[in-house]
Amino acid sequence: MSPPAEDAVLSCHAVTRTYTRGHQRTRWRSNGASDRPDVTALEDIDLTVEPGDILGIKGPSGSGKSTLLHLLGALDTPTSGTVHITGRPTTDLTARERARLRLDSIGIVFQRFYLLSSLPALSNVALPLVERGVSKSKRHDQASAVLHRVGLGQRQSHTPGQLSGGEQQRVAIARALVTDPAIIIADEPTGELDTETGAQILELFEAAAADDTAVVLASHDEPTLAIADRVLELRDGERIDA
Amino acid sequence: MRERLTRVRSLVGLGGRLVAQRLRHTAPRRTAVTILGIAFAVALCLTVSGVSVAIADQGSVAGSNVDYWIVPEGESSSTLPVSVGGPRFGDVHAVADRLTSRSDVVYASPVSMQLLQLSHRGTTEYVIVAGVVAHDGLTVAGVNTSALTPGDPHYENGTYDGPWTGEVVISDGAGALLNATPSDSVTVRGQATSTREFTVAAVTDGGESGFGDVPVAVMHLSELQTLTGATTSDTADQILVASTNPNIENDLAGVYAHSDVVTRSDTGLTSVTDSDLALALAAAGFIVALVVGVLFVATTLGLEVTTDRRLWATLSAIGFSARSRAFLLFAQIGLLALVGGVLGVILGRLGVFAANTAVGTVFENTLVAVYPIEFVGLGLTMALVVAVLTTPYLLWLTTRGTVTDTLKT
Repeated sequence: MSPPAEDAVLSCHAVTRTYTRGHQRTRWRSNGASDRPDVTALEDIDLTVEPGDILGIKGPSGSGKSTLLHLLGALDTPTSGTVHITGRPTTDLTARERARLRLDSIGIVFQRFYLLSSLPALSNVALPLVERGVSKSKRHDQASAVLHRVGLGQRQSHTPGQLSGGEQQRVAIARALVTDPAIIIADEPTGELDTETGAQILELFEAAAADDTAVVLASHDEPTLAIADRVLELRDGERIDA
Repeated sequence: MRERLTRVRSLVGLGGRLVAQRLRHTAPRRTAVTILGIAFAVALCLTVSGVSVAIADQGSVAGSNVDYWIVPEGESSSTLPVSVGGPRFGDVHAVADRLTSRSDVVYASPVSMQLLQLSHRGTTEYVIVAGVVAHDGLTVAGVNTSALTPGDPHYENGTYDGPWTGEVVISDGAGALLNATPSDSVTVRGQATSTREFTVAAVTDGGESGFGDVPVAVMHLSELQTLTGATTSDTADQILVASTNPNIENDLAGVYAHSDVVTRSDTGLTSVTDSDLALALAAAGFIVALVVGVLFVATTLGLEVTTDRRLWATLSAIGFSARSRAFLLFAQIGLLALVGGVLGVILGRLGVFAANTAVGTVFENTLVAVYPIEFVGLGLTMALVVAVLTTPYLLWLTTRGTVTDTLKT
């Protein structure tokens, strides 16, 4: 196992991720063997991200973008190779430790926002602080401050259903920022938004990077990737930009 | 520690908001069915338990001031009122005198129970008649015997030549049936002799000991024995003993061969175990209600959890640990169970009322089910048990599929 680069908040070395097809079915076979081959979603990926970097990941559907994001967000672990997040190898961590790592060091932004429809914007943003055991008043103070940062200071009491798509994505970004993470992982963050709203969202990522937060965003969209310092291109699970 | 407490409190609050949202907007019908399912299960359990407690409690012929009663072997306390014709004790006056002479016995009284006809002003009804050796403070079948002349004057050392008091104390149920009040004369038709006149010494509340409004009359034992032809062997069904000695049980067990001693702690709710029928009823009610409740909650909330799989995946993605997610789920189930439990306690009370009303239309003055205050706790505990038993299955549902797969779809 190679050590991570000294300044890196995120690094991958020789990361490969394969999935066994038909596993559920073949589990019941007496020899446990699958009659279908494994699928390699990612193969031999190396990368390093430093604080304040914006790393873009591009590639067609099925190229392995989401798989790589899941590994970088500690939502999954590689089949082989190593992923270090803030210096910690994810393969050595238990599920509970990885959850704690996500809570403390990573903010994740999804294409479809995934906000809790029953909660107002303020409570949605404050959710990670619930897990941290922060008191209600402090939670609301911190969440309110971040909502002001993303331009939703006047919309705190609105539920997701009362917000536009762009506003919902701002709430999702605020939720990712509220724990002051070292890394933000964003999967197609402007995929559901119009051009103008998408541009506003990208400004928020640039602002986060200016505050030394590393940003990794995957997208099909060239204008979105234009804010990246570097773009990593994938095809069929392999890196083709190098 | 403080952090953990804050987290627990916040998770309960979050669970409450999710339940409220589900009830108001996302799945009101399904959530209502879940609550009603729990309520139905709890109400079913309480109603059946109410019947079983009533069955078991009907055997408690003694009042709360009696500590022990000696009964023929194999007779549980629940069978005492219907033990006419069963094994009986002989020489009961002598035995009771011997026991009363002990310094640690306040009093001892034989009790004989018979079903006899009582008439008053043209009304004739069957009434449970208890014969006792009267003592201040002695209550039998819910009827206080203080209004009777103390002792058993007619017995007169076994000669049955003593003064005939002709006194009877009747329960308010019997009073209502016969329209009799104190000082009225009632006619008692015995089995061995012709009818005899008795004077109503008092009408007392017969609600104690599970007899409820069942008509009961209490008179001196020797007078009842004379009426029923039980003077030859001086027989009775049981002997009640009030004692200051908590260790007297073994001594009492030796008074008669082939006898059992039932203690006061065997009465009330705990006496359910004295009756196989009552125990079987209670156990069946509890198990059926538990299965119904668990199936209801597992089915309806199972659908909810499956629908909400993105919520659970999102919480996992933003860093909620499996333990916190499990607690959040349990908080939601627990809140639903609490609401269902409260509703079930109310429905259970109505169930007991309905059972008594329905039976009352056929058999007058009969209580088939009771609803002691402890049932509130039992109902809420039952709801909690349903929640606890359902949680593992629902937790398993939340872990089906990976976070990455769920958030991809």
